[in-house]
Amino acid sequence: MEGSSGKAYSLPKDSIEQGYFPGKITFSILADALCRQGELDMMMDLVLLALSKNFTFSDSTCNKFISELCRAGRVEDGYVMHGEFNRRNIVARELLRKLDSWF
Amino acid sequence: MLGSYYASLIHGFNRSNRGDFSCRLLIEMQDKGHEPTRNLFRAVICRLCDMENPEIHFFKLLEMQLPRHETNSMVYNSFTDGDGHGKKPELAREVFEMMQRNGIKPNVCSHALTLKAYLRNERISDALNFFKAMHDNKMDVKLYNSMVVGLCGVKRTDLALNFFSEGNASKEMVPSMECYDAVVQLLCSTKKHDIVVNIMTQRDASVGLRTGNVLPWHSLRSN
Repeated sequence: MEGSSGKAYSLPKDSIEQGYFPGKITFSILADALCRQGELDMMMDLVLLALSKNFTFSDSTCNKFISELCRAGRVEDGYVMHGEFNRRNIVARELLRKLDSWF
Repeated sequence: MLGSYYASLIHGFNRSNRGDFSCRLLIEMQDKGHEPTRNLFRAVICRLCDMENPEIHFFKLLEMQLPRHETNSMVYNSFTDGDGHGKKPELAREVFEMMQRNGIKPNVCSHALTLKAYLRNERISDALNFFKAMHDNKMDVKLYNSMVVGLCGVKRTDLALNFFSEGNASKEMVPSMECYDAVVQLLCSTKKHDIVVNIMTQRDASVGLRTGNVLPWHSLRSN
C-alpha cells in the first residue's frame, strides 16, 4: 500500500459503513500498514467505526494498535481503545455464555 | 492474547507522571492473567515513589499484591527492589522489617536488595550498619559481593578496596567476577593502574568480559 494509504483507508471505511467487514486477515494487513505509516488517526477512525457496527478484531491487531498509539505518545487514546476493546470482549463473552446456556 | 500492550500503556502513563493509572493497569493486567515482569513492576513502584504521599500508594499496592502470590518473599523483594530504584531506601528497609513482622524469613535476596537500596542512594553508613548486622548473623557471599559492587557504583574506592581485600584474604568470601569487574573499572576510571596490575597478577583465573574490555581501553587511553 505504498503511497495509497488514502485509498486503502477509504475502501474498507465505505464497506464497513455499508455493513461489510473486510475480514480479520485483511483488516490486520491494513492495520499493519496504517500503523507502519503512522496513520493512527485513520486507523482509530476505522476501528471505532467497526466497533460501532459490532465487528470484532484479532487480538494481535488490538495489541499492535494500542502499542503503536503508546509509542507515538498517545497514551490517553491507547487507554480509551483499551477500554473499548475490553468492553467489547466482555459483551462478546457474555453473549457466548448465554449461547452456551441455551444449547 | 488480548492485553500484551499493558506494558506499553503502563510505561506511557509513567512517562506522563500518572502513577495512579499505571498502578490500576498493573492490577488489571494481573487480574487478566498477565504476569508483569520485574522491570515493569519496578517502573510502577518508582513512579509511585515520585508521587505525593508515596507511602500511602506504596503500601496500598503492597497490600493488594500479597494475596496474589504464594511465595510472599518474592513480592516483598520486588517492592524492596523498586524502592531502591525509586530513591526511597527507608521504604525498602520498612518492607524488610514488615516482612519479618509478618513471619516471613528474609532470604539472601532480601538482604542484598535492602543493602543495594542503601548503596544506590549513597546511604553508606546505613549500608555499613545493615551489612554489619547481617554479618553478625551469618555472612553470605552474595551480600559481600553486593557490598563491593555497590560501593564501586557510588565510587567509594577506599571502602570498596577494603572489603575487596578482606574477601580476598578470607577463603570463604571469594569475590565474584562481577566484583572484579566493578573494582577494576572503578580503579581504572580513577587512574589507579598500579593497584589494578596488583589485583590482576594476584588473580589466577581468567578475567571477566567487562574487565577484559576495560583494561585494554584504559591502557590505550593513557598512552
